[in-house]
Amino acid sequence: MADPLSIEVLIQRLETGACSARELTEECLERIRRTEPLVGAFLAVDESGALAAADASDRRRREGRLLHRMDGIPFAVKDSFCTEGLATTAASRLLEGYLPPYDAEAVAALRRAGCVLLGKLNLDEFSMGSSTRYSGLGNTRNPLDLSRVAGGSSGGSAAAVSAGEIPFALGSDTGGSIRQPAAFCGVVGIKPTYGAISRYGLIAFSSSLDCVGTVTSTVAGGATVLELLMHRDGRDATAVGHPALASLRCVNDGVGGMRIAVMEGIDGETPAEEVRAQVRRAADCLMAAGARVESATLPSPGQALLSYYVISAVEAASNLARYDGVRFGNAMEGFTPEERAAATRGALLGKEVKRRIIQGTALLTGLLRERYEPAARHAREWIRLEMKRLFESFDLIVTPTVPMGAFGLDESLTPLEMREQDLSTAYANLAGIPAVSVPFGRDRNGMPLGMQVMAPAWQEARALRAARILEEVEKG
Amino acid sequence: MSDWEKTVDEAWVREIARIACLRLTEDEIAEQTVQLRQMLAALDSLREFDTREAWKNAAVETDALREDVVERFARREELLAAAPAREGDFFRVPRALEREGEQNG
Repeated sequence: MADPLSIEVLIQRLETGACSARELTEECLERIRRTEPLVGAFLAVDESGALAAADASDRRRREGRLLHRMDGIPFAVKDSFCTEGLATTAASRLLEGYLPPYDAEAVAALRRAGCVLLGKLNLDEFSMGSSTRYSGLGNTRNPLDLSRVAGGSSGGSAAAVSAGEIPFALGSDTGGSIRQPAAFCGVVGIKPTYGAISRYGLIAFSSSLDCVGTVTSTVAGGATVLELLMHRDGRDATAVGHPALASLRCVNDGVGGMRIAVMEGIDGETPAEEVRAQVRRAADCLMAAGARVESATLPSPGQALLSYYVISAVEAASNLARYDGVRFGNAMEGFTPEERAAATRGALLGKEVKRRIIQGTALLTGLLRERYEPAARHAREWIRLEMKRLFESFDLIVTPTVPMGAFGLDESLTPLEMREQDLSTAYANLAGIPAVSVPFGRDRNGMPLGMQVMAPAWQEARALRAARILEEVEKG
Repeated sequence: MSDWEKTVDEAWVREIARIACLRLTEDEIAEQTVQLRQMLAALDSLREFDTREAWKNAAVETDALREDVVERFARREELLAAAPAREGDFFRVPRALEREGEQNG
């Protein structure tokens, strides 16, 4: 595998004329050609579109009309972002070949800055999963060990950045879908505050949890991309924008004087000693950098996390009702509209998506609705309040992203291991707060582990400053 | 046996699949029934979670609503082209209403 590409280095190469945007794009395309047969991160590569965009960037540079310092930097996006004229599938056979007539706002914002879209990346179908094994359209492997998963659902995004195919990717994170694959592939994953980035044109999974975010090889690179994405957008009523998001250039300001809570495991589950050792090492590093570090726990929120499964299932069932074989994608035959919808969904949706539709629909029905849905909403509020209370005493919370490294492609997980995939990460989605996963340490198989830094709402800059410290220690 | 365990059987899951507009094979119905029972068993502790206090304190977040102005979507043709079946300017679907005097098979 090639070394990961750093956005800062590439910006510098373009600024000094060491290479043109076209050469940079050609280099990425060449890396993709070499790497894809092994890794399988991409579902589609738009070679001609990318070269045309790179040529346009070079023209702007010659004419002194650069759109942004990122002008000419290549990227790719999870295939759940609509891209005008480029097939968008959510890795589902139901949407295979679907050509959206518009760009998602996050994609459009990057194009407005002159970034060059190279293609679309694999995911668990409709973003439902933690391994990318539930993709309906392809297999993605972990570039650091091809016998292991890349994580998910944004597995293609993490794998492509880790394999050095592209300098950055967009992903989406509903319960950890950016941070977990980033941890598994040894790259930086950022889920910002709920509402920081418009989701217009992102294929919806669970609307009260879904966040657009980034995968990069460095913390500073992530901050640079985030700045381009965080703004108000009237087409997503939750995209409020916030003055605190205007600049993230303070990532190198350190953690001096910060109060940081460190948790070995988030809810009393004790992770393996190798993971706990890394948490202690992270605490030492942050302390050495001038932070006041204390260990802390969330008071018994184990059951509260169950609200994640209720909320995400019921919202998924509602959001996926639109795939009825009428307006987009593929359809099977049927004598009535209902029969056609049922046949289409039955034949073209994968097992995991069907499971969540059934569970979500069941949880919205009669007795079960009365029983679980209000309890889930209450439990989410409880988590929000608990997090708020913790942030009265602490500036940041640090936990392992996932208490294990990437597992094998053929390995089936125990129910506890499966729950651990979401355990630490879903809190940030339920609370709506920003969280960053940064590579830190390795497991007994030599696979990277991730450390997660959570901050109060709109304080992504603070989380990035701590992530930067951990990154510096790791990169030496 | 708790009350949901009496409710969740294959016949009930078949009805849920009908509501969800999802055609499942008999094997899938059996598998989904098992998985649904497992999930509900896991969720039972959530129900005992007393969060009335927390709910009372829940804050309403401000949404970023845009001005209510009608805009014409300029890409009508592409929207229609993305459909599995169309006829002229319409999405084509199976007949939803029976013709007068016609009996459904």
